[in-house]
Amino acid sequence: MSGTNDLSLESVYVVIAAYQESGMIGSVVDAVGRYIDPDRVIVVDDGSDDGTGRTALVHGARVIRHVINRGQGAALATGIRAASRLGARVIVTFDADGQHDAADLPRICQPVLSGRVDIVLGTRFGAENSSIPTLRRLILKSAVVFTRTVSWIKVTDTHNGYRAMSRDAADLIRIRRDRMEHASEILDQIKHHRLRYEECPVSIRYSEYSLRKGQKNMDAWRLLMRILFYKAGG
Amino acid sequence: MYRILVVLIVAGALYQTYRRTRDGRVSPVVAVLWALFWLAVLVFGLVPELSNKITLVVGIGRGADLFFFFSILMLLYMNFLLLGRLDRVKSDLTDLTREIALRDAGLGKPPEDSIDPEDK
Repeated sequence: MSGTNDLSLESVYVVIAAYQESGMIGSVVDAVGRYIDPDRVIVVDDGSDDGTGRTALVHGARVIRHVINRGQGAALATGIRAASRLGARVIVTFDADGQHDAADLPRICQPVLSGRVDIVLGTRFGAENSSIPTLRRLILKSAVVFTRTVSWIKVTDTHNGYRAMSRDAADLIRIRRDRMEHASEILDQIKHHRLRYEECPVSIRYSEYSLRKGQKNMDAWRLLMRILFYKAGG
Repeated sequence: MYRILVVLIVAGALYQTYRRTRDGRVSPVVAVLWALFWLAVLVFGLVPELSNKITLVVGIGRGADLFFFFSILMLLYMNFLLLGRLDRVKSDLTDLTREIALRDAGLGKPPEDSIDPEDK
Protein backbone atom coordinates (compact mmCIF):
# COMPACT_ATOMS: atom_id res chain seq x y z
CA MET A 1 0.00 0.00 0.00
CA SER A 2 1.40 3.30 -1.03
CA GLY A 3 1.07 6.87 0.03
CA THR A 4 1.84 10.16 -1.62
CA ASN A 5 3.63 13.20 -0.30
CA ASP A 6 0.40 15.16 0.16
CA LEU A 7 0.12 15.47 3.94
CA SER A 8 -2.80 17.91 3.94
CA LEU A 9 -6.14 16.80 5.36
CA GLU A 10 -7.96 17.51 2.08
CA SER A 11 -8.67 13.85 1.35
CA VAL A 12 -9.44 12.90 4.93
CA TYR A 13 -12.97 11.87 5.89
CA VAL A 14 -14.09 11.58 9.51
CA VAL A 15 -16.76 9.00 10.36
CA ILE A 16 -18.81 9.50 13.51
CA ALA A 17 -21.32 6.87 14.65
CA ALA A 18 -24.00 8.61 16.69
CA TYR A 19 -26.95 7.33 18.66
CA GLN A 20 -29.10 9.71 20.73
CA GLU A 21 -26.35 12.37 20.73
CA SER A 22 -28.37 15.46 19.87
CA GLY A 23 -26.91 17.29 22.87
CA MET A 24 -23.29 16.81 21.82
CA ILE A 25 -23.13 16.04 18.09
CA GLY A 26 -23.31 19.70 17.00
CA SER A 27 -20.23 20.72 18.97
CA VAL A 28 -18.37 17.57 17.86
CA VAL A 29 -19.06 18.34 14.17
CA ASP A 30 -18.01 21.97 14.74
CA ALA A 31 -14.77 20.85 16.41
CA VAL A 32 -13.87 18.46 13.58
CA GLY A 33 -15.03 21.07 11.05
CA ARG A 34 -12.21 23.35 12.18
CA TYR A 35 -9.75 20.90 10.62
CA ILE A 36 -11.61 19.51 7.59
CA ASP A 37 -14.53 20.61 5.46
CA PRO A 38 -17.72 19.63 7.39
CA ASP A 39 -18.95 18.01 4.17
CA ARG A 40 -16.28 15.39 4.79
CA VAL A 41 -17.58 14.72 8.28
CA ILE A 42 -19.87 11.70 7.91
CA VAL A 43 -22.28 11.29 10.79
CA VAL A 44 -24.05 7.94 10.78
CA ASP A 45 -27.24 8.48 12.75
CA ASP A 46 -27.84 4.98 14.08
CA GLY A 47 -31.62 5.12 14.36
CA SER A 48 -31.81 7.97 16.89
CA ASP A 49 -35.18 9.51 17.66
CA ASP A 50 -33.88 12.64 19.42
CA GLY A 51 -32.94 14.66 16.32
CA THR A 52 -29.26 13.65 16.27
CA GLY A 53 -29.18 13.47 12.46
CA ARG A 54 -30.99 16.77 12.00
CA THR A 55 -28.61 18.54 14.41
CA ALA A 56 -25.56 17.13 12.61
CA LEU A 57 -27.02 18.25 9.28
CA VAL A 58 -27.61 21.79 10.59
CA HIS A 59 -23.94 21.91 11.61
CA GLY A 60 -22.90 21.02 8.06
CA ALA A 61 -22.09 17.30 8.36
CA ARG A 62 -23.01 14.73 5.74
CA VAL A 63 -25.61 12.57 7.46
CA ILE A 64 -26.34 8.94 6.67
CA ARG A 65 -29.24 7.46 8.55
CA HIS A 66 -29.84 3.90 9.72
CA VAL A 67 -33.60 3.44 9.87
CA ILE A 68 -33.18 1.21 12.93
CA ASN A 69 -30.46 1.03 15.58
CA ARG A 70 -27.80 -1.54 14.65
CA GLY A 71 -24.96 -0.67 17.01
CA GLN A 72 -21.72 1.27 16.86
CA GLY A 73 -19.79 -1.33 14.85
CA ALA A 74 -22.50 -1.47 12.19
CA ALA A 75 -22.76 2.33 12.01
CA LEU A 76 -18.99 2.73 11.66
CA ALA A 77 -18.93 0.12 8.89
CA THR A 78 -21.64 2.07 7.04
CA GLY A 79 -19.74 5.34 7.45
CA ILE A 80 -16.45 3.80 6.37
CA ARG A 81 -18.06 2.34 3.25
CA ALA A 82 -19.62 5.71 2.45
CA ALA A 83 -16.26 7.48 2.88
CA SER A 84 -14.59 4.92 0.64
CA ARG A 85 -17.24 5.44 -2.08
CA LEU A 86 -16.78 9.20 -1.77
CA GLY A 87 -13.10 8.80 -2.60
CA ALA A 88 -11.49 9.26 0.81
CA ARG A 89 -7.75 8.66 0.97
CA VAL A 90 -7.73 8.45 4.75
CA ILE A 91 -10.72 7.57 6.93
CA VAL A 92 -10.82 8.52 10.60
CA THR A 93 -13.24 7.08 13.15
CA PHE A 94 -14.21 9.51 15.88
CA ASP A 95 -16.53 9.25 18.91
CA ALA A 96 -19.76 11.25 19.06
CA ASP A 97 -19.79 11.89 22.80
CA GLY A 98 -17.10 14.59 22.86
CA GLN A 99 -14.37 12.37 24.34
CA HIS A 100 -11.98 12.85 21.44
CA ASP A 101 -10.02 15.99 20.67
CA ALA A 102 -10.18 17.13 17.04
CA ALA A 103 -6.80 18.82 17.57
CA ASP A 104 -5.24 15.33 17.41
CA LEU A 105 -6.51 14.85 13.83
CA PRO A 106 -3.40 16.06 11.95
CA ARG A 107 -1.13 13.93 14.16
CA ILE A 108 -3.21 10.73 13.86
CA CYS A 109 -3.55 11.10 10.07
CA GLN A 110 0.04 11.98 9.27
CA PRO A 111 1.57 8.45 9.40
CA VAL A 112 -1.15 7.17 7.02
CA LEU A 113 -0.95 10.18 4.70
CA SER A 114 2.80 9.75 4.43
CA GLY A 115 2.32 6.06 3.58
CA ARG A 116 4.39 4.91 6.56
CA VAL A 117 1.58 2.74 7.95
CA ASP A 118 -1.87 1.53 6.88
CA ILE A 119 -3.64 2.28 10.13
CA VAL A 120 -3.02 4.41 13.22
CA LEU A 121 -4.69 3.45 16.48
CA GLY A 122 -5.30 6.10 19.09
CA THR A 123 -4.12 5.31 22.60
CA ARG A 124 -5.09 7.14 25.75
CA PHE A 125 -1.99 5.85 27.49
CA GLY A 126 1.00 7.99 26.65
CA ALA A 127 -0.87 11.26 26.42
CA GLU A 128 -1.70 13.52 29.34
CA ASN A 129 -4.86 11.72 30.40
CA SER A 130 -4.62 11.86 34.16
CA SER A 131 -8.40 12.13 34.37
CA ILE A 132 -8.95 8.45 33.47
CA PRO A 133 -10.97 7.08 36.41
CA THR A 134 -9.02 4.43 38.33
CA LEU A 135 -11.55 1.61 37.78
CA ARG A 136 -11.77 2.47 34.06
CA ARG A 137 -7.96 2.42 33.83
CA LEU A 138 -7.88 -1.01 35.48
CA ILE A 139 -10.52 -2.44 33.13
CA LEU A 140 -8.76 -1.01 30.06
CA LYS A 141 -5.42 -2.46 31.15
CA SER A 142 -7.07 -5.86 31.70
CA ALA A 143 -8.55 -5.63 28.20
CA VAL A 144 -5.04 -5.02 26.83
CA VAL A 145 -3.72 -8.18 28.53
CA PHE A 146 -6.75 -10.14 27.24
CA THR A 147 -6.29 -8.86 23.67
CA ARG A 148 -2.57 -9.60 23.67
CA THR A 149 -3.36 -13.12 24.81
CA VAL A 150 -6.15 -13.97 22.36
CA SER A 151 -5.36 -11.74 19.36
CA TRP A 152 -1.57 -11.70 19.52
CA ILE A 153 -1.41 -8.03 18.68
CA LYS A 154 0.68 -5.60 20.69
CA VAL A 155 -1.33 -2.49 21.53
CA THR A 156 -1.64 -0.40 24.67
CA ASP A 157 -5.30 0.57 24.30
CA THR A 158 -7.72 -1.92 22.78
CA HIS A 159 -10.99 0.01 22.87
CA ASN A 160 -10.09 3.45 21.66
CA GLY A 161 -12.41 4.58 18.87
CA TYR A 162 -9.97 7.16 17.49
CA ARG A 163 -8.33 5.56 14.43
CA ALA A 164 -7.06 6.64 11.04
CA MET A 165 -6.82 4.18 8.16
CA SER A 166 -5.98 4.29 4.50
CA ARG A 167 -8.80 3.54 2.09
CA ASP A 168 -7.04 0.34 1.01
CA ALA A 169 -6.94 -0.80 4.64
CA ALA A 170 -10.56 0.24 5.17
CA ASP A 171 -11.61 -1.81 2.13
CA LEU A 172 -9.82 -4.85 3.55
CA ILE A 173 -11.24 -4.56 7.06
CA ARG A 174 -14.74 -6.01 7.21
CA ILE A 175 -16.57 -5.14 10.41
CA ARG A 176 -19.12 -7.90 10.96
CA ARG A 177 -19.77 -7.44 14.67
CA ASP A 178 -22.47 -4.85 15.08
CA ARG A 179 -21.75 -3.71 18.59
CA MET A 180 -18.70 -2.91 20.69
CA GLU A 181 -16.85 -6.12 19.75
CA HIS A 182 -15.91 -4.42 16.48
CA ALA A 183 -12.87 -2.89 18.24
CA SER A 184 -11.41 -6.36 18.84
CA GLU A 185 -12.45 -7.45 15.37
CA ILE A 186 -10.51 -4.58 13.78
CA LEU A 187 -7.39 -5.60 15.72
CA ASP A 188 -7.81 -9.19 14.54
CA GLN A 189 -8.09 -8.06 10.94
CA ILE A 190 -5.04 -5.85 11.22
CA LYS A 191 -3.18 -8.98 12.24
CA HIS A 192 -4.88 -11.18 9.63
CA HIS A 193 -4.22 -8.82 6.69
CA ARG A 194 -0.75 -8.00 8.03
CA LEU A 195 -1.50 -4.28 7.95
CA ARG A 196 1.21 -1.92 9.09
CA TYR A 197 0.05 -0.12 12.18
CA GLU A 198 1.26 2.15 14.92
CA GLU A 199 -0.26 3.82 17.93
CA CYS A 200 -0.62 7.53 18.48
CA PRO A 201 -1.25 9.09 21.90
CA VAL A 202 -4.55 11.00 21.88
CA SER A 203 -6.34 13.04 24.49
CA ILE A 204 -9.50 11.61 25.99
CA ARG A 205 -11.81 13.94 27.88
CA TYR A 206 -13.81 12.14 30.55
CA SER A 207 -16.70 14.48 31.15
CA GLU A 208 -19.77 13.68 33.20
CA TYR A 209 -21.64 13.46 29.87
CA SER A 210 -19.21 11.03 28.21
CA LEU A 211 -19.12 8.77 31.26
CA ARG A 212 -22.92 8.75 31.33
CA LYS A 213 -23.29 8.18 27.57
CA GLY A 214 -20.30 5.93 26.89
CA GLN A 215 -19.43 2.42 27.94
CA LYS A 216 -20.25 1.61 31.54
CA ASN A 217 -17.63 -0.24 33.55
CA MET A 218 -20.10 -3.09 34.01
CA ASP A 219 -20.40 -3.37 30.20
CA ALA A 220 -16.86 -4.76 30.20
CA TRP A 221 -18.10 -8.14 31.41
CA ARG A 222 -20.81 -8.35 28.75
CA LEU A 223 -18.31 -7.24 26.12
CA LEU A 224 -15.86 -9.93 27.25
CA MET A 225 -18.56 -12.58 26.82
CA ARG A 226 -19.43 -11.29 23.34
CA ILE A 227 -15.76 -11.27 22.30
CA LEU A 228 -15.32 -14.84 23.57
CA PHE A 229 -18.43 -15.88 21.62
CA TYR A 230 -17.14 -14.15 18.50
CA LYS A 231 -13.70 -15.75 18.95
CA ALA A 232 -15.38 -19.14 19.24
CA GLY A 233 -16.83 -18.56 15.78
CA GLY A 234 -20.34 -17.68 16.91
CA MET B 1 -55.42 -44.48 27.60
CA TYR B 2 -51.84 -43.32 28.28
CA ARG B 3 -50.58 -45.02 25.12
CA ILE B 4 -53.29 -43.43 22.98
CA LEU B 5 -52.29 -40.01 24.32
CA VAL B 6 -48.61 -40.62 23.46
CA VAL B 7 -49.54 -41.70 19.92
CA LEU B 8 -51.76 -38.61 19.42
CA ILE B 9 -49.12 -36.19 20.73
CA VAL B 10 -46.35 -37.73 18.60
CA ALA B 11 -48.57 -37.85 15.51
CA GLY B 12 -49.45 -34.16 15.98
CA ALA B 13 -45.81 -33.20 16.52
CA LEU B 14 -44.64 -35.15 13.46
CA TYR B 15 -47.34 -33.55 11.32
CA GLN B 16 -46.26 -30.09 12.52
CA THR B 17 -42.62 -30.92 11.73
CA TYR B 18 -43.65 -32.06 8.26
CA ARG B 19 -45.68 -28.89 7.61
CA ARG B 20 -42.91 -26.59 8.83
CA THR B 21 -40.36 -28.41 6.65
CA ARG B 22 -42.64 -28.28 3.61
CA ASP B 23 -43.13 -24.53 4.13
CA GLY B 24 -39.38 -24.01 4.41
CA ARG B 25 -39.53 -22.82 8.01
CA VAL B 26 -37.37 -25.70 9.24
CA SER B 27 -34.32 -27.09 7.45
CA PRO B 28 -34.43 -30.77 6.45
CA VAL B 29 -31.56 -31.61 8.85
CA VAL B 30 -33.42 -30.10 11.80
CA ALA B 31 -36.62 -31.80 10.66
CA VAL B 32 -34.92 -35.21 10.66
CA LEU B 33 -33.56 -34.56 14.17
CA TRP B 34 -37.01 -33.57 15.39
CA ALA B 35 -38.57 -36.61 13.73
CA LEU B 36 -36.02 -38.89 15.43
CA PHE B 37 -36.73 -37.23 18.74
CA TRP B 38 -40.50 -37.71 18.45
CA LEU B 39 -40.11 -41.28 17.21
CA ALA B 40 -37.96 -41.98 20.28
CA VAL B 41 -40.71 -40.49 22.45
CA LEU B 42 -43.20 -42.79 20.70
CA VAL B 43 -41.08 -45.92 21.14
CA PHE B 44 -40.23 -45.24 24.79
CA GLY B 45 -43.82 -44.16 25.47
CA LEU B 46 -45.27 -47.39 24.08
CA VAL B 47 -42.52 -49.71 25.36
CA PRO B 48 -41.24 -48.10 28.60
CA GLU B 49 -39.31 -51.22 29.61
CA LEU B 50 -37.14 -50.78 26.48
CA SER B 51 -35.51 -47.74 28.03
CA ASN B 52 -34.48 -49.78 31.08
CA LYS B 53 -32.78 -52.32 28.79
CA ILE B 54 -30.87 -49.54 27.00
CA THR B 55 -29.78 -48.00 30.31
CA LEU B 56 -28.07 -51.26 31.18
CA VAL B 57 -26.04 -50.98 27.96
CA VAL B 58 -25.27 -47.22 28.23
CA GLY B 59 -24.71 -47.27 31.99
CA ILE B 60 -27.23 -44.61 33.00
CA GLY B 61 -29.25 -45.51 36.14
CA ARG B 62 -32.90 -45.40 35.05
CA GLY B 63 -34.80 -45.27 31.78
CA ALA B 64 -36.28 -41.89 32.65
CA ASP B 65 -32.77 -40.49 33.25
CA LEU B 66 -31.70 -41.69 29.80
CA PHE B 67 -34.67 -39.88 28.26
CA PHE B 68 -33.81 -36.64 30.07
CA PHE B 69 -30.14 -37.00 29.22
CA PHE B 70 -30.81 -37.20 25.48
CA SER B 71 -33.52 -34.52 25.69
CA ILE B 72 -31.05 -32.07 27.20
CA LEU B 73 -28.45 -32.94 24.54
CA MET B 74 -31.07 -32.38 21.85
CA LEU B 75 -32.18 -29.07 23.34
CA LEU B 76 -28.59 -27.84 23.60
CA TYR B 77 -28.01 -28.71 19.96
CA MET B 78 -31.23 -26.97 18.91
CA ASN B 79 -30.19 -23.92 20.93
CA PHE B 80 -26.86 -23.89 19.15
CA LEU B 81 -28.56 -24.04 15.74
CA LEU B 82 -30.97 -21.26 16.73
CA LEU B 83 -28.15 -18.99 17.91
CA GLY B 84 -26.40 -19.45 14.59
CA ARG B 85 -29.57 -18.68 12.67
CA LEU B 86 -30.28 -15.63 14.85
CA ASP B 87 -26.79 -14.33 14.18
CA ARG B 88 -27.34 -14.73 10.45
CA VAL B 89 -30.67 -12.90 10.60
CA LYS B 90 -29.07 -10.04 12.55
CA SER B 91 -26.27 -9.83 10.01
CA ASP B 92 -28.78 -9.71 7.13
CA LEU B 93 -30.74 -7.01 8.94
CA THR B 94 -27.60 -4.90 9.31
CA ASP B 95 -26.70 -5.36 5.63
CA LEU B 96 -30.20 -4.31 4.65
CA THR B 97 -30.16 -1.28 6.96
CA ARG B 98 -26.77 -0.26 5.55
CA GLU B 99 -27.88 -0.63 1.96
CA ILE B 100 -30.98 1.50 2.58
CA ALA B 101 -28.89 4.14 4.38
CA LEU B 102 -26.32 4.33 1.58
CA ARG B 103 -28.98 4.46 -1.14
CA ASP B 104 -30.85 7.22 0.69
CA ALA B 105 -27.58 9.16 0.81
CA GLY B 106 -27.08 8.68 -2.94
CA LEU B 107 -24.17 6.32 -2.34
CA GLY B 108 -25.83 3.03 -3.22
CA LYS B 109 -24.44 0.72 -5.85
CA PRO B 110 -26.33 0.02 -9.07
CA PRO B 111 -28.89 -2.80 -8.58
CA GLU B 112 -26.83 -5.42 -10.39
CA ASP B 113 -23.87 -4.80 -8.06
CA SER B 114 -25.85 -4.37 -4.89
CA ILE B 115 -25.10 -7.79 -3.42
CA ASP B 116 -21.56 -7.59 -2.19
CA PRO B 117 -20.11 -11.14 -2.06
CA GLU B 118 -17.70 -9.94 0.62
CA ASP B 119 -20.68 -9.41 2.91
CA LYS B 120 -21.83 -12.97 2.65
